[in-house]
Formats: sequence, C-alpha cells, structure tokens
Amino acid sequence: MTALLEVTGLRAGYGRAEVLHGIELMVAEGEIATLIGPNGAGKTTTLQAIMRLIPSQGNVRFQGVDVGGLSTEELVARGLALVPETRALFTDMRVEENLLLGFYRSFRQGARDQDARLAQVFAIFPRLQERRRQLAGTLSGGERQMLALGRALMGRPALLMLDEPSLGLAPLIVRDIFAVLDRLRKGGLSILLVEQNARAALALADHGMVLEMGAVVATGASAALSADPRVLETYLGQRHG
Amino acid sequence: MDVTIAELLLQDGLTTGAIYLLLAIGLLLVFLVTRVIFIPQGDFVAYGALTLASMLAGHVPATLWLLDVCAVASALLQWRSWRGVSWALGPALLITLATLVAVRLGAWVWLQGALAVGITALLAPMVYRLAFRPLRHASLLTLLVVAMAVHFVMVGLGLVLFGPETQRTPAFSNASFTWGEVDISGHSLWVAGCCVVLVAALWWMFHATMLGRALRASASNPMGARLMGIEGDRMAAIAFAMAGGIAALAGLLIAPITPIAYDSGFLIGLKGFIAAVIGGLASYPVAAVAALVVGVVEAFASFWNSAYAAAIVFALLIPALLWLSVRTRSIEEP
Amino acid sequence: MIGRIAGVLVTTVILGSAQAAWADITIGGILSITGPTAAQGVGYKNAFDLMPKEMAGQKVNYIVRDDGGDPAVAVSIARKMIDEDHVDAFIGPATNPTLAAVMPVAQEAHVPVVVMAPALFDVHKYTFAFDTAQPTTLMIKGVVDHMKAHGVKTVGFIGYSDGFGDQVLDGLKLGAAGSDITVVDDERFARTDTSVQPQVLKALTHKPDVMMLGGSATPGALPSLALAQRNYKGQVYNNHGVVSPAYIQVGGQAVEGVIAPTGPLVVYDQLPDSNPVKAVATDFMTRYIAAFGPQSRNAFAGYSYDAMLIIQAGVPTALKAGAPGTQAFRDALRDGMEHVSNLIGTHGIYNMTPDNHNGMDERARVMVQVVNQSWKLMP
Ligand SMILES: Nc1ncnc2c1ncn2[C@@H]1O[C@H](COP(=O)(O)OP(=O)(O)OP(=O)(O)O)[C@@H](O)[C@H]1O
Ligand SMILES: [Mg+2]
Repeated sequence: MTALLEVTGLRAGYGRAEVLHGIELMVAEGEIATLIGPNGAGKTTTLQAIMRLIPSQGNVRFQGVDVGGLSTEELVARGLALVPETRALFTDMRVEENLLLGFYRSFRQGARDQDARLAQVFAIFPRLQERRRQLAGTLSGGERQMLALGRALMGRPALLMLDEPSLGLAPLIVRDIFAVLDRLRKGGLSILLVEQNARAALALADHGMVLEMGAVVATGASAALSADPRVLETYLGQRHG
Repeated sequence: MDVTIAELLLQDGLTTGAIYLLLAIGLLLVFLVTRVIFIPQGDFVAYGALTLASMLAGHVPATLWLLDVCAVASALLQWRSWRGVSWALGPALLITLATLVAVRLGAWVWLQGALAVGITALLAPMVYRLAFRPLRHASLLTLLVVAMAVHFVMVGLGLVLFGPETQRTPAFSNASFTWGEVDISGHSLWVAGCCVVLVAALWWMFHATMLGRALRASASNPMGARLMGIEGDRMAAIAFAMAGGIAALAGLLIAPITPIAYDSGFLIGLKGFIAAVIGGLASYPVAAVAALVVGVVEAFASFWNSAYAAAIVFALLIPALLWLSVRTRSIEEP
Repeated sequence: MIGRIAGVLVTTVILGSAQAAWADITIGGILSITGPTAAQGVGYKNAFDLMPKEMAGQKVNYIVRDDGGDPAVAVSIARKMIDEDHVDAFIGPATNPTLAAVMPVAQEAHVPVVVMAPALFDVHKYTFAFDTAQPTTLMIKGVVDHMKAHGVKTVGFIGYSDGFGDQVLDGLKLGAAGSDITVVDDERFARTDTSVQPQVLKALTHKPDVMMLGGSATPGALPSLALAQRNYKGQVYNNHGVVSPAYIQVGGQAVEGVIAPTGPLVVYDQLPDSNPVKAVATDFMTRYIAAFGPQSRNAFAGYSYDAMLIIQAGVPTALKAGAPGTQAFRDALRDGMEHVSNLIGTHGIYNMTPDNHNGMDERARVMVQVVNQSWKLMP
C-alpha cells in the first residue's frame, strides 16, 4: 500500500509551549486511519499543524511530494481537507451556500460540475437537501456535522481529515456518520479520523495510532491495537469497562 | 416649513444619504473581511473626484504615478512569486496606458470617469498590501490606529498631488424635472440610480457568484474560509478594491454638487461610518437605511439650525451605541 | 587636511562675526509656502524677489522660511530668526493661526512684525505688530454701502461656521447698524459640507432682498450654486475672501453677477488713472508678471510688498537711533512705522497711528462684479 500522507518529526505548539514533540504518522491510500488519545494529547493540534493553521516544523509529504512550505489554501488545492472540531461553518449563510463554498477551490481550478456534486452530497445526506435554504447557524448538532462533512466532500478531496465527528452527537447519529465514512472508503476516499470514542474508531478504521502527551506511542492495524493490553486498559477498558 | 420645502429637503437628504449609503457599504465590506475600520475611505472619495478633475483639465492625474509607485513597491514585497508580481504590476500597467491615451485624446467624460474610478480602486488594495497586510494578525485597535495613520498620510499626499484648491467635476446630467411643485435635478436621479444599481449588483454578486460567496465566507468564518481554499489575502485585496472603487464613484457623485478638496473626504466618510456603526458594523441593510436617515436628518438639521447640524448628525450615534451595548454583541476578535 | 578644516572654520567664524558687527538690515519672512495655503504662500514669497536690496543706503538681507501652515513651526522659526539671525523685523505670517502664534513671540522680543491677514489684535498689547491687509469691516462696509445705494431692506446671510463667518457677519451688522437694512437670517455651513441646500432653503423662507455670503476661497461658491438651483433672483454679495479666478471656475454661471469687495491691486489694470494707488500697483504688478509670468498674477504678493514699504519707511528714523541688529534700532524702527503717513502701497494708502496699526481707508477697497465669467471693476 502506498502512503498518501506521511508525517515525520512534526513539532508544533502555541507560543513558547511545545505541544507536539515530533509526531510520526502515516495514512495509506484508500484506508481509514484513526488517531486516538486522551484529552489534551495533541490530536487537534496535529491536524492543525498538518493543515498549516498553526506554524510547525517537521516533514509532511502528501501524495509523495514535500508540502512543508505550502499554505493552508494551497494544501486544500492539492486535495487535503479538514473538518475541524468546531466545524467552522458559515453560520449566517444558507446550507446550500455552505456546500457551494466547499466547491470554491475546484471552481477556481476550472471545475463547473457543482450541480452533480451537490446531488451526490444530497444523496449521502438527504436531510441537507430538505434544509438547503435554512441558515447553517440554525441547524441541529447532527445536521451541522453532516453539513461540515458534505461541504468538505464538495471539494472532492484526496484525503479527508475529521476532528471528532462524534463530538456531542447521539449514538444513533454517530452510527450513521460512521456508516457514511465506511461507504466513502469503499468509494476510494482516504480518511484520517481523530476520535475520543476509541472503540468505534478502531472498529471502523484499517489502522490506528495512539497519541499521548504529544507523541505517538503505539501504532498498528486496528485489530492488533484493539487487542493490545495497554490500549485495552487505557482507552477501551476504562471507558466501557 | 411648508410641504414644498420639506420635499426639497427630503430630496436633498436622500441624495446625500445615498452617497453615505455607498460609503457605509464599502466600509462594512472592508471591516467584515479584514477587520480594518477603513477610515481612509473618505480620502478615496477625494482622490476619485480630484483624479477626474485633473484628467478633465488635460493633465495626467498624479494618482496614476502614485499607483505605479505603490505597484512597484508591492511587487518588490512579493518578488518571490511570479503570480504576485504580475498581479501587482499588470493592472497598474494597463490602466496607466489607458489613462495616458485617454488624457492625450481628451476622450469622453464617462470614460475618463471610469478610469478615475479604476485608478482609485486599484490604489486601495495597494494600501492594504503595504499598510495592513503586514499587520493582519494585529488587534482591532492596532488596525484602527494604522487606518488613522494611513488617513493622515493620504491627506498629506493629497495636498502634494492635487494642491489645495477645491475642484468641481461636471454633473452626470444637467436636466431638471418638475414633479408636482418640486424640481428634481437630473443629477439627484443619477445619484439615486447609481446607488440602486450598485446595491443590486452587489446583492447579486454576494448571493449568486462564487467570488461574492467567498467574500461573505471570509467575513463569516475566516478559518472555515481558509479550509475551503479561499485565500484571505485575495479576499482582503478584493474588498479593498471594491471599497476604493465605491468611494471613488461616490466622489464623482458628490463633486458636481459640492466642490471637493484634498481634505474634504474625511467628514463625508465619517457620515458613512456613522451609518455603518448604527448597523452594528455587521448589517448591510441596517447600515443602508441608517445612511439614508443620516442624510435626511442632516438636511433637516441644517435647515432647522445650521450651526448645530453636524452635532445633531453625530448625536445619532448615541442611541445607536446604547442599543448596541444593550444587545452586547461583542465585535472583538473571534 | 586638518589645516583645511581649520581654515574653513576660521573663515566661517570671521564671516559670522563680520555679519554680526557690520550688521546689514535683516528682514525675516515667515510664510506658509507649503501646506493647505500654499497657493497664497507662493505669492507672498515671490514678492521678496522684487524688494529693494538697500534701504536708506543700508544693505538689506531677506531670509524667508516656510512654516507649512503649522503654528508650532512658525513659532520655532520666529525664535530661531530672533536668536540666530538677529532679524530687525518680520514680514508675515499671513494666516490667522500662524500669525496669532508668532505675534506674542515678536512682542516679547520687541521685534516689529507685519502680518498680512485681517487680524483683530489689540495694538496696545501688541505694540510691535502691524497689518497690511484690509480689515474685514472695511471690506464689508463697501458691500453695505452698495446695498444702501440700491435701497436694500433685508439681507440673508450664509457663512462659514467658524471665526471667518463670524467676522463677515459682524462686519455686515456693524455696517448696517443705524440704517434700515436688517439681517433677517444667519445660516452656517462648513467647507466640507456635502450640501448647503437646506441652509439656502431656510434663508429663502425669509424672502430676503439680497443675500450676503461669508465663505472664503473656492468653497465660498457653494451657497451660490445652491441659490442658482433655487432660481434666486435677488443680488448675491460675497466677501473679499473669494475674489480669484478659481472661484469663478468652480462657481461657473452660478456666480455670474456676484458682487464683492477687494483690494485695488486685484484689478490694477482696470483702475481709472485718477485712482491714487494705480501707479504703485501697476508698477509692482508689471515687474511681478515680468519676473514670474502672467499665470502667476495674484493679489497676495502685494501684501508682502506693502509690508516691506512700511518697514522701509521706518528705517531712516531707526538708523538714527542705532545700528541694525540692536534693540535701539528695532525700537526706533517700530516708532517710525507707527508714524507712517500717506504711504502709498499696492493695496491702498497707509496712515499709522498708535491706535491703528493698519491705517487703511476706503481707498484700499474697490467693488468688483463677476461679468462674463471674470472679475470686473464696478464704477
Ligand atoms: N490555542 C491554544 N493555546 C495554548 N494552548 C493550547 C491551545 N490549543 C490547545 N492547547 C493545548 O495544547 C494541548 C493539546 O491540545 P489539543 O487540542 O491538540 O488536544 P486534543 O488531543 O485535541 O484534546 P481533545 O481530545 O480534548 O480535543 C493541550 O494541553 C491544550 O491545552
Ligand atoms: Mg481536540
């Protein structure tokens, strides 16, 4: 399997305080990789550093190319997409406009198939179609997550990075969303999933990485990780024991 | 006060109000996209009018050279990127050539007017690039202080570029219509028409084009916009260019009514700012209505007691600020 | 190398002291050559080139500095000229803010200062200050006289909402006092107002026979534009602050027929031979135009020149009291200037007294009207 995203020695922080002390992680083509770890381990920081939302040092290769010097916008142009923890929706704009903005980068690159892509997203999330004229700020939590996901899909990314898609959502909706991710993988999309809910994440993912205090402490196939006694105890055991 | 006078005052107030409306829109656009309170917008009003006046007098406008100098400076600032350099130099070069030809031939007034608007509009993103971009992460207050400084620099430069004299530019129309007992000047109709067309065009742009949506998105959630691949810098430059162009157009609309000097812009811009503040620095429709109200209040106040007219207009801010503080919607950084 | 530097130093010192010991008369000009009033400032400055190099057989040095229209700069220039250049008299400043700032400095140092804008100052407090510009009341009196001669009963006023507007209105009221002319309305506007329609509408509700305007320079044409739009048929008067070609350029047809007072120099070539200042004004303007070209023609240069004439008239008395550069010389110069009588300048005839440091009379004023888009002397 070829590496789509390969991160080595990634260091980043806020002001003087270093939060990431040389992260190593990898996402292969067509797989779902998951990054799990306790609160404050640096998962969100890792995604922000990869996306260049915060300054960072280290080596980031995407599709075999060093993308270290690129800006967030340029990374998006290359097919990297992030659905952040906050969703970052355009709350005072309509659902449909939010989706169309997901198409901005492709539009600038000459694509004009926004209607087809809208139809695809609506097929995945029929709820969004019902609410297309509604302001994004008035959506429910689950609908917001769908919109954030749908908006990212509008750009047809090569790698979709999701920061805690289950945050604050009812188990039923989480199941729906994970089912969607599964279908997207079958469609060939690569996904980097950051999750608190380690059990669900490992169940879905092909391979997993455990982040603790700003460093990756364990990595492997999800089945192997699920069986790892350390992981079992700290992430699976405690929560659901 | 009889009805005729009230109607005349209303006409006068709506005409100036329409001009304030344009400025309020420009101000809001720049603020929402870049968080810069665009104090120098008034100076762009003066620059636009004086550029046209100078072209009509058969001179190559001094703003053109200023634009070229700024273009070279901002090209040097981003010499690493070929695209950056060509974006800085290309439009400036084109408009320089067009203006030189138009002045030489003494082309139609409307063409010269369009060029004056174009020159001023291109100047605005240069101001962004040189003054505000390096500070784009600074606090609102810092940006405000820099905006103030830019205003003073522009007034000083305006004096050097245009001299101290006031200038008038020709009215868009000298026709006059009678409606009941009231004369309506053709120019007033032009002002109203320009305002309506521009507002409609902006509405269409904001809601039906990708660029317009991207501008709104950068204002709505800057991080979200970056994650869509919307370059904040490009949006900021576009917002400045639009505000500069709108201001220059406002200048061309005012200069036939009131002669404009290098330092006339500030107070005019301030009236637009009042309207924008009444709109909570957030709402275009409220700001637009407020601008018309400011114009009408100003007209009636000038009639009622001209010595205190300015004070009355500025007093409009007090209830607006009280209302806003009651609603406590903070406009500090996200 | 060191020898050369030393040589230069020594020469400088000798020259410097020579200047101090054998002091020529030194006149300092403080003008706003750049800044918002630069257009006038250049005229005031150019006149220095036409000033005599000698007065009463004594060589005269002129030093001209630019204050950029900033009162603080004007003060520091004045101090420097007093302390380092040992000036015997100042010509200028010529704007109200700068002259108000410099006058106390000159008074404190007892250096005569001839300002060149209509300034209301107390001659008993500022005993060293003189003024070559026509007082506003004198100018406006000409307007009121014209109104009286034409049976005007009611006047509407629209002027700047600043001190200048007040001065014009005061002049109007003072002139009208005791006659049957009443000022029926007082409206104000600012130089940067977008519209003066409301003020005009208000003034016209009083149906005044005539309108008097109190703005200056080109924005002074604003009320005329609005009056024309309202088809006002009465006579419109303006003040001396607007008499320039630029005003007509801005006002166009709207200012056709406007009557205003001005100094005779402005229309020197239209003056009848009987006018007492015609010869001096014509001589000065001819030389000025020869030096700076016909485009440069302006009235401001004359005020500098008249300032020089007043100083020159005081020099013979002053030389008897002491050498230039001394306090005795400056005191006597002031006394001499205070007793100038029947001095014909370019703008009028000056008769100074201890109570009047301007000394102009009605001969310093002519009435002009915009006829066919240019200023014409009225008979
Ligand atoms: N803006 C910030 N300024 C300073 N410190 C920050 C900032 N954001 C995060 N941190 C710190 O960095 C560390 C890592 O935070 P991060 O948000 O990456 O954790 P996380 O793994 O995503 O946690 P969670 O599971 O709770 O979302 C934490 O200690 C946090 O306090
Ligand atoms: Mg997190």
